[in-house]
Amino acid sequence: MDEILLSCSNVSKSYGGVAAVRAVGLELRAGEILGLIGPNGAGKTTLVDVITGQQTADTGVIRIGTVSLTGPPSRRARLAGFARTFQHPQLALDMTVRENILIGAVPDRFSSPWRVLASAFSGAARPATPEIDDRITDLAAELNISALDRMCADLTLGEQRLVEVARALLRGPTVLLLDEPFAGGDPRGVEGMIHALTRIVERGCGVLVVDHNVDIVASLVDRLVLMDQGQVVFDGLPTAAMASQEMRTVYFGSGT
Amino acid sequence: MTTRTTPVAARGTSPLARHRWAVEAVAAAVFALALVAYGSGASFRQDYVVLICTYSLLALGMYIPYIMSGSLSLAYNAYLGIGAYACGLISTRAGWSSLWGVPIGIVLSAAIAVVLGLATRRLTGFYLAGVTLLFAVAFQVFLLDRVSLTGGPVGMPVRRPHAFGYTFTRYDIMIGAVVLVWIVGLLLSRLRQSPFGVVVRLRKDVPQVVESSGISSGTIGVVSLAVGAAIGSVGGSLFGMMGGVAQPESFGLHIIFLAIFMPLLGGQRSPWGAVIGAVLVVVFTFELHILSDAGTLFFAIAILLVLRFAPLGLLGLGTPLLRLLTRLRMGRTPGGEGS
Ligand SMILES: Nc1ncnc2c1ncn2[C@@H]1O[C@H](COP(=O)(O)OP(=O)(O)OP(=O)(O)O)[C@@H](O)[C@H]1O
Ligand SMILES: [Mg+2]
Repeated sequence: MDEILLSCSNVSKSYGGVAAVRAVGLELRAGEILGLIGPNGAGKTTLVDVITGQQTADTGVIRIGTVSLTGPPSRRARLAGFARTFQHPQLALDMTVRENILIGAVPDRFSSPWRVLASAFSGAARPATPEIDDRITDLAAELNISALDRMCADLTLGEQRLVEVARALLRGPTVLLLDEPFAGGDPRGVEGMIHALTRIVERGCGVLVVDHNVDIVASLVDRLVLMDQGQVVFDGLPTAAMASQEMRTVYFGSGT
Repeated sequence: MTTRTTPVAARGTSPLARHRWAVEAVAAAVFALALVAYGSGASFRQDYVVLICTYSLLALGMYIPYIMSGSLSLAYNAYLGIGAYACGLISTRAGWSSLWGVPIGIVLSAAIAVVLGLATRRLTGFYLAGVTLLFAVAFQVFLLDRVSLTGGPVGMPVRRPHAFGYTFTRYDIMIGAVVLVWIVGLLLSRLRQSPFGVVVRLRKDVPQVVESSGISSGTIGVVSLAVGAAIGSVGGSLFGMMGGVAQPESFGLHIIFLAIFMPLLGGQRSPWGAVIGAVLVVVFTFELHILSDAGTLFFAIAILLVLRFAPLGLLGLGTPLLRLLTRLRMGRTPGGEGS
């Protein structure tokens, strides 16, 4: 439980004049669920984007173990074993739930141009993948996702988030980053998600959960990081965070 | 650890869904036989069938990069031209069977597609369209100007293909063309459902997801472009071998126009839509003599109507019908069948 999987030091990112993330330091350990909370515009999504490479940091270093992470998101995801979800679910709406999840299971087949080409040929020869289908079916059952052959356009927002989580879990990540996975979800889906998260941290995965639902997050996580205006203002145990001065200042504007 | 809800094998409920590949292969074979039967008459009909097959391969070549992966490459006149001229050059200059032009054309066009794709990789899709269009025009000029290599405006002969001492007749080439379209159509249809097809289609709508799953979206795009170019090039080789000549006017910019719209016309959910688009184009532009020059205009109007009223193409119209039928037969259980 002590090994540091992911560390950020002095990470900053501005959009034009807006300093979205300012000199943030953060560590994520193996077997840990880390909660990241903060008001709208605090920079939580930007921090996740900078870690996974969807955005590039202006300053600072992101390390996986001792290796410094650079390059496009695909490279980082392979090196670090990242899987992530997006605050605005990214699903192909005219494709089925099963197809949207499937990509989590196959990155190894597409790790070089030649392997991509080989996948094209082997796909034409043998399109069905019953072994992957079985894994998707099991995972969907655990997360309470029904009717895998539905089009994603027919899903509620909560269901779309579940599909994103399923896709990320199917990847068997080392570091899982979830951007507001619980928003709009029904209780059974949330329960399934929490069960799945506790299961993968037992295997030594590190999880970063961004969410506005402070109650769910505080009960789920091992450690809580509070961000405000691009900076980390608190980093500690959930109980300590909930009782802290910073929490009151950020969320209720009182105290000082 | 969790109970499995449905055994995988039992999931495809209707027999149609369970034997879907066999059904598709047979349906396409029936259509192919009809084409062969039609082409077994007067000689001009064989040209006609091969033209349908050439355009089908052109449209199928567009299917992976354009319809599935969302990259608009416009250099297809060049890919077809490369296929035809490779057959011409290898048969007249080297004296080999023009069949050798097929693999040469495949490799050459795929390589060009890769170079054009890499050159625009970091830019938006508009640059790919622009750069490939530029290449398309430059290729046209090259065919006309490099007389020593290409024969200039009159083009160059393509000898009849031969193998193992047998020289293929025009009828043989027609049969070969139909079989080729049947095979390529089936393979693409299977590929579309495979993990490769799923990843390529996801790239079109949610490239971020492809990237964050550890797959380079750029590589997927470039490989798609290469495979598409290779298929187009085979169409060009076929056309050259059938006509016995490779000429610049056959590979003009009108090819690009056809390439963009044939897959849209026929239907996007299946590569067979591209083939249907090709058949319609040949019928509209060549068969309707009454309309003579208005054929192209007619085609343009047809496309507008289809895009407006059946955005998924003509094959797309069949899906709601099929779904309705399945639902009625299954006693109104919602959901049910795959795509
Ligand atoms: N792509 C972008 N371009 C310009 N500004 C951006 C961009 N993304 C975020 N910002 C700005 O950066 C700041 C941090 O935004 P970010 O989305 O990271 O916050 P957040 O904590 O995730 O908020 P929320 O809880 O609303 O999701 C905000 O001021 C936002 O307006
Ligand atoms: Mg956010």
